[in-house]
Amino acid sequence: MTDPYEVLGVSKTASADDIQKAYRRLAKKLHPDLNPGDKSAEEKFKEVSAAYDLLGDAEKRGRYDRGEIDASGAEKPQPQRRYYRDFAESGQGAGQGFQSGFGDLDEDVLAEIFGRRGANLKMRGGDVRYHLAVDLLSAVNGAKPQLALPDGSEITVTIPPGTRDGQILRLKGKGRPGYNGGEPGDALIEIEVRPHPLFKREDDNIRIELPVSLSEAVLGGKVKTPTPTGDVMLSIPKGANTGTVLRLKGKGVPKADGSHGDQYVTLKVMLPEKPDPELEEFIARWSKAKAYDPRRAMEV
Amino acid sequence: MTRKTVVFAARYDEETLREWVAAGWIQIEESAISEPLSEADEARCNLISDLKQSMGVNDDGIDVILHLLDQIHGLRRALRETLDHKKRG
Repeated sequence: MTDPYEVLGVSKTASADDIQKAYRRLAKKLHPDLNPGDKSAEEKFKEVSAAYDLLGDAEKRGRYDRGEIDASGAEKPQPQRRYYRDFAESGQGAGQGFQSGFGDLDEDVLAEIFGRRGANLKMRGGDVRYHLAVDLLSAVNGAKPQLALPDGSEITVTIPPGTRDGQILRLKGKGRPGYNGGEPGDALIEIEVRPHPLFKREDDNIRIELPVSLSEAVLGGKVKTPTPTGDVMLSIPKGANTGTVLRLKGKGVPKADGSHGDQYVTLKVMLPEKPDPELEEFIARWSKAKAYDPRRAMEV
Repeated sequence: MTRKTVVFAARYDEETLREWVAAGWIQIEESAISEPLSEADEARCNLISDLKQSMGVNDDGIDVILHLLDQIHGLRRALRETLDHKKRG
């Protein structure tokens, strides 16, 4: 989704006034009625209007800036939030105040508390959050991509077969280093599974739509069908109609127990691409004697 | 699969972080500014952000609040250890 700030051409710290001015300037330029010959004007104008709809409203703008909603206004899932009090007593991230305020008290005892123990306080390093987009087949079949982290180091991430959209993979020890010999934190990688043009995932099953020819549907036959693990030959029963669902057992998504879901193939009967005079002539003749009403149940 | 760079999910931009370091509200080395924040630093930034936005506290107020809060936690730590010490006799 495009950044609404970019769409309006303003910086993230722009004032409400700047934003309104930018919107008006663009609206005047892109309004479809003021650009009768420009087909792209409507799309661009919609984009600008949507951006202003978001940024022109102080509350929505605040929520978008804080990451609570995305550019379309939809609620974004929030990562688990940690509160500072969990880290405060160990002094992590604290300012000067933490060890001050004791000047009038027993210095030695306190030096012991803050000094020795403090210096030896072992803490586990923090976790780091990442985001990784993968294509559907890699998520279903599993993959081991090699990734470059922002600091230049490389890691190999194991994406287990059957990984779902939104799943978070934890790489132990790949987060921030620990303090005073504490163990390092983990890398948390949130996986985004990109939609596939052909395969759709539904729980542990895969669904596809398969076009078949008139003869394959009427006479039946074997048809090459794609699955996540490669092509298979599928038997089309004689007289199969559009909407018939065939099941390929075990050709779905791998499950935790080692078994597989299934692939469901919905048939779509296709007429020849170009009109065929012979076919037309035959159908004209054939229909006279064999007419049937597919809309019977609709009482049209 | 071709190599790709993973983007880390950063909530606070570098400019903001530098401002807050300069104000003495957080302690982050300049060399670590562009890296993912530790959980403790991120939690402290969330607190500052909440004070500013949800609670409408101005910068002077945030100064005072953080200073006092740090003292409280220092005291809690000292108290906790003193009590532990006492228990063990």
